[in-house]
Amino acid sequence: MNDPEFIAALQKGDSAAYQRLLQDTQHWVYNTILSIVQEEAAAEDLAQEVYISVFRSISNFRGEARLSTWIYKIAVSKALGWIRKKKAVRRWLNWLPGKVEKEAADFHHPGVVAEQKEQAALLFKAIQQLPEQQRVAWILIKTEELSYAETAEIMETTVKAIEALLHRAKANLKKSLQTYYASK
Amino acid sequence: MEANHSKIEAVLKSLENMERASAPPFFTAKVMHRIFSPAETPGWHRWFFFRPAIVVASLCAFFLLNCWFIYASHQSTTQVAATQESGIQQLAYALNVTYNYTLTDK
Repeated sequence: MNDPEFIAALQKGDSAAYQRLLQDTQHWVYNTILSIVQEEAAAEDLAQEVYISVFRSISNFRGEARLSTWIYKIAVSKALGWIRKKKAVRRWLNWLPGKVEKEAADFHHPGVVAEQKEQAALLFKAIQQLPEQQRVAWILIKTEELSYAETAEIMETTVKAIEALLHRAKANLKKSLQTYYASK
Repeated sequence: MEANHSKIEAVLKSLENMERASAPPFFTAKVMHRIFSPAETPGWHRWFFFRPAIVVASLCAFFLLNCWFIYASHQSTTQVAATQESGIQQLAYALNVTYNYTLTDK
């Protein structure tokens, strides 16, 4: 996928190259976004937006990073942007009188095995409470199974920083799960 | 406490054997259509309508223009009143009568 000829074909707007790009990357793009936003319809729209962005800005791609890293960066930024917008809308709606905050429904990731569905739903709920950077690091490493180095490249930071983020994410997840079990 | 600890560890490991979610059906076709259909070609109308900052800036500019217009029309009304007053005073001077009545006395 990092073949210069393939990238040149994408830059020329060759439809066969885009077809191949989509076939090779759509599942991990969709899966990453879905794990971050936890809504299937939004994940599909955002994944489509990722490819529209790739099409529009591939001419600026200089090949300094791998194409997959570049696409991951776009996917993560689209997903985080959507979450920020959603939070902003919710903040505005809270100003309305008589507005009762509804608790979000459990998210069931389609890739989780049946026996672990409940536990995974609980974990996704806890992941939703994490700060952005910790959430992204956790998802890229635990659900996408990327290496620390790849994650660091996508998040434009160091491997040490990723280790720290993951450590803090685990501690925060444990804390929120402890609160959940203690209240039961 | 110990039971909770083991439950938490199990929850944290629940994503370990997870498979990737497949993209929805017809995803490739939908994206290909969006990329290669003329509607996705950037045009000035899309650029304008999908940039909220530009819309907000335009509304602000329109509001400021209105403020300036109201201010300017108010100023010109005051000037007309002042001119009228000065004309009356000149007339009074020509007729050699005392005129102390001004618009501000009202």
